[in-house]
Amino acid sequence: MGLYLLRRVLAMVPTVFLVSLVSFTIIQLPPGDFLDTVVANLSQQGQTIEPAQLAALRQRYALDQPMVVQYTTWITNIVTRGDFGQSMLYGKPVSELIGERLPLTLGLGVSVWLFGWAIALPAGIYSAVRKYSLGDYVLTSMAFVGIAVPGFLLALTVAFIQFRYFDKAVGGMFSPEYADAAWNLGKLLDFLDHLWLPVLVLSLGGIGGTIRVLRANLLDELRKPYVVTARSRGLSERRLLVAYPVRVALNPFIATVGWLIPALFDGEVLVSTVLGLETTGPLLLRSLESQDMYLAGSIIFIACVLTVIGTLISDILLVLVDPRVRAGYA
Amino acid sequence: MNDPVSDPASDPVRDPDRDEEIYVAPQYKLVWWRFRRNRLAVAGLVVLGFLYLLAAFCEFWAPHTQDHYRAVYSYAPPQRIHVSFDGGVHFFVYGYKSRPDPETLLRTFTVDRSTRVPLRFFPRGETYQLWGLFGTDRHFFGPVKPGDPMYLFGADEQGRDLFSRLIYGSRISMSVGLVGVFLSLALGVLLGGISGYLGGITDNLIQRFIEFFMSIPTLPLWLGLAAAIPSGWGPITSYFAITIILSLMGWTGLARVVRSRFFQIRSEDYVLAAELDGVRRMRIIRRHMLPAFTSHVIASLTLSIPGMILGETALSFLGLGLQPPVVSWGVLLNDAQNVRVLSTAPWLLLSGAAVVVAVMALNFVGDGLRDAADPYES
Amino acid sequence: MDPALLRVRGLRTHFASPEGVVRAVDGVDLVVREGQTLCVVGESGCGKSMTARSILQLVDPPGRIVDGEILFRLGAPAEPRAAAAEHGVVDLARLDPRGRAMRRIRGKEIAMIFQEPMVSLSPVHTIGHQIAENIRTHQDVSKKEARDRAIEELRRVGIPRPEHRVDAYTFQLSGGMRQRAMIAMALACRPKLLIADEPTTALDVTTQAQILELLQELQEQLGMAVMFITHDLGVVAEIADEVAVMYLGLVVEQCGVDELFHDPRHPYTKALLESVPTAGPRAKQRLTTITGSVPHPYHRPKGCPFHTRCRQAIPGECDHKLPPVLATGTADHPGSRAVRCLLYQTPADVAAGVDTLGEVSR
Ligand SMILES: Nc1ncnc2c1ncn2[C@@H]1O[C@H](COP(=O)(O)OP(=O)(O)OP(=O)(O)O)[C@@H](O)[C@H]1O
Ligand code: SF4
Ligand SMILES: [Mg+2]
Repeated sequence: MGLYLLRRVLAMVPTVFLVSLVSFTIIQLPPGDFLDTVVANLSQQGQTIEPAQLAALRQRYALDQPMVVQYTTWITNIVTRGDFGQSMLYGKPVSELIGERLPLTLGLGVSVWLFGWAIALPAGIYSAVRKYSLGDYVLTSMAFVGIAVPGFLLALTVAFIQFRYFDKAVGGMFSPEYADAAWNLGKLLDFLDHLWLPVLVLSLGGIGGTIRVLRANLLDELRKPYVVTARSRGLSERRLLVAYPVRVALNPFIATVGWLIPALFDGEVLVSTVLGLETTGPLLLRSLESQDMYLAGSIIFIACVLTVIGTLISDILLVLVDPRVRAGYA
Repeated sequence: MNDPVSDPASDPVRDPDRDEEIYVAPQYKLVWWRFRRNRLAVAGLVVLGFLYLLAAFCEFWAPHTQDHYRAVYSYAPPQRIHVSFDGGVHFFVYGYKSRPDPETLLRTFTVDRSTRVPLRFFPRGETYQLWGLFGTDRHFFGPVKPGDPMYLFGADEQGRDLFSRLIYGSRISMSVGLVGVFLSLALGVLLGGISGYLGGITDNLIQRFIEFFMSIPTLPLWLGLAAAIPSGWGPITSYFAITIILSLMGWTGLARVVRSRFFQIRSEDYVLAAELDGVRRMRIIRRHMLPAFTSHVIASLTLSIPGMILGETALSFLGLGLQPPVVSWGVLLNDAQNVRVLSTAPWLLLSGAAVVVAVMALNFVGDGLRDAADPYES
Repeated sequence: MDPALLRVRGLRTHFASPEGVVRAVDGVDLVVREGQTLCVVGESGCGKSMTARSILQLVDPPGRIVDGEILFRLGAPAEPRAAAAEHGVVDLARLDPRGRAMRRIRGKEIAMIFQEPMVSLSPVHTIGHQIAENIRTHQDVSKKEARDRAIEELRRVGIPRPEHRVDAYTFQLSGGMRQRAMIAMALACRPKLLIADEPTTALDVTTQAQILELLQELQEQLGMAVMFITHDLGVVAEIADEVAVMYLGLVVEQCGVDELFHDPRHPYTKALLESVPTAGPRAKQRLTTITGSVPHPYHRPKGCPFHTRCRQAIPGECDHKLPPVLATGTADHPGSRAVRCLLYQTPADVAAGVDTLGEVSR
């Protein structure tokens, strides 16, 4: 087991390297660099910038160096000092910007995950066990709708309804009066009041998908002979279900727990933009629009690394829960 | 005495070519037969057919061209079609009365029951080139007098008809998925097929590669790539750039499906039999493997179109995908980003509804196909 | 005298599907006697497994027992092990498949083993866990005790080093070991009847012989009855006391094993025996070598289901009239036999082996 773990961790290194290359390349794709954008913006406002000043800036951000040097500087700083560089857009260190927002992103992710499972797990089991019942049809249709409605559209609709009918502007995680206040009960309640909507919106698509897949997996398992065998031993239906097929049907989910992280980043960018949440998504969007390369690259890089770590966690969990996999690595 | 006659089903397959004829032909019929029993899937197929028909002849179906605008009707609300029966059947909508709101400076519209805008089938309207082949000014349905206001789904800020624009948008939104999926298919089948057929080290390498691709969060990558599309590119070029970006992510799932199917089919008797006969490998793939799993691939294809449609919508919604004057459902939704605008013109969300309908229809059809192709699902 | 432990009468199990009703089991009568082995033979798809599953109410929807009685005697008078309140006969067909009463019979009174031990055992639990769970379902013992019992049971079925194997998963065992484990599991609560659905078909010949031997040994030790489903007439000759021959959801003949091989009555039984090569080593012989093939289950022939393939079919009779059961002697007598064929008109004809055409059978 220890050896397996070591091997898995070592195998991550080339992946992370590749991922860092990809992140860096994406940022280099648009023609020109950050300073061109700055110049363009300034000239739009009728201002100009001194060539000498421009050259100085270029030097400071190593923009005049060859690509390899730019990359090496970037990755070395990250690995050795946790320095993701400077955001040119905000004029702050990238690590600080991300540090402000990542906790909310991850917190949102965990809440979405917990909430999603709390709903989808019983719903999926019910749907499979009571196949073709009224409840199954209702749940299945709801799952289909959940899959088909893009999160941002739902967010938009909910925001519109709140604005129009409840006269409540959605946006942010705090009401203005609490935004800068210290944590207290009022602030906590206010936070929860703002939290449920994004969590609901973000988890809906995932819930739909989970119900569908769990139902299909479980139906597959319920058809298998070992279920009949267990039943022929006199086990009660409830015990039979939970101890055997549900356990097996959940394995694929455990195997893909790691993919929840990329899924979170995917859904979150749009929903947070619409709902005005201060997470990494809108930050990424803004940085891409203005070609703030260190910021955008770092966010993509962190998202990818988190995904790789998530995959590792999945693999370890799978080894822990599935004896067949465990035996393969014993 | 009777001769024991052996059961034909247990006979080893001796002639793979003959076997294909008796096996494959009913397979498609069987799939279709099972598919037809699934009512949701059939309904989805009907909706899809309708949508693609809409997309193919959008100039004809739409009462106005996509850029037709009348600034005075900015944010005019949707109208209801009325029917009158005096002297034959007539369709009409009521006109608008409008006055500017002194506070918001926006016009507010009310129904003007004193003016009727008569409508008819096949009216003359703006001229258009259908498929670049021939010009005509006939539309499917519209106001009798071309200039009259008809806004079944309301108008946008510049007084353009959302109904017409939705129909035009279907062309891009519905085709992005198709084109993207075919690009994905090419990549997926190529790599998945190689992986599944050769196995061994090649398979291992390709699998690692696919896993790497899967471990990248899709949307940030899409965003990054889409942001890199130069704004100077023309509509056609950026359209293809976007589809390529979308398919870059979609192919991994397909490659896995193809691979596992190849593994499964490779072990089946008739391929073994053909291999023993010394039939060339390519011929094995073409004649025996491909027909047997097309239905599965078609199902997976159908199920990956929605992702592409949603991807295009998301990118265009954020302003990173297709740009106006190109019209797609995502581009239309881009106008609806602001809650304040929405509260003035909630009908702008209708393009989102179009996306939902299309995605659901595709999911139903895809699910139906998958179940129909799976012999275990009754 | 061996009184009947299980008596199935007119059992019908049907599957309703949009294309029509599949009558998988359609009027099965059979008897399993205390401590004896009844072999059930017949071509693939004739409803052997469905009969077995029906007995324990294990038919999955859309399948359903639509008619018939499954009479099972609880706690034989001679055996003090069963509580007095449990004496008597229950009709299993009337019990709620999910109810307590049925669950207390499953695994405790009647146990079942299956053809494919690999897929019939849980892939994610150790065999020890599964045996212990079985014991704890029916008996009030501690976890520790249950585990010790599990080891004991594994030892009894001849699994070497049971203290270690108790923690093994199914995929870590060989085919023969898996089947032994499954038998251990089935017998852990000392059932009075073991239903074995082709338990040796998936095994190689040597292992097959070992498992059969083990089963016979255990049957003797524990004094249980066995209902053994098989395609292999060689196996039948080796272990059966009685044989029930099935065709299209019907038991067409039940008789003692010697009568079956030396003095068959039903034309289908005769055809079956003819299809077995008489010389050569005993190989796995699938019963698929009778003229024509089994009719599709949707198109069950009217009258005697066998008339489409029967060499002695009486035109105008067999295709109209369902042959009734003709039983010789009392049904509780081991020497008795029951036949469903219109060639015989009275039980006496059956006993004498003279059919209506005046020919002596054989
Ligand atoms: N789920 C189902 N739906 C419809 N028909 C079914 C279903 N399951 C079984 N059957 C029918 O029940 C009949 C009897 O099946 P059964 O498994 O009892 O046969 P068997 O005698 O055990 O055959 P084998 O020797 O192959 O095991 C089959 O002809 C089959 O058509
Ligand atoms: S009843 Fe008729 S058809 Fe059936 S077995 Fe007897 S003789 Fe043959
Ligand atoms: Mg069977």
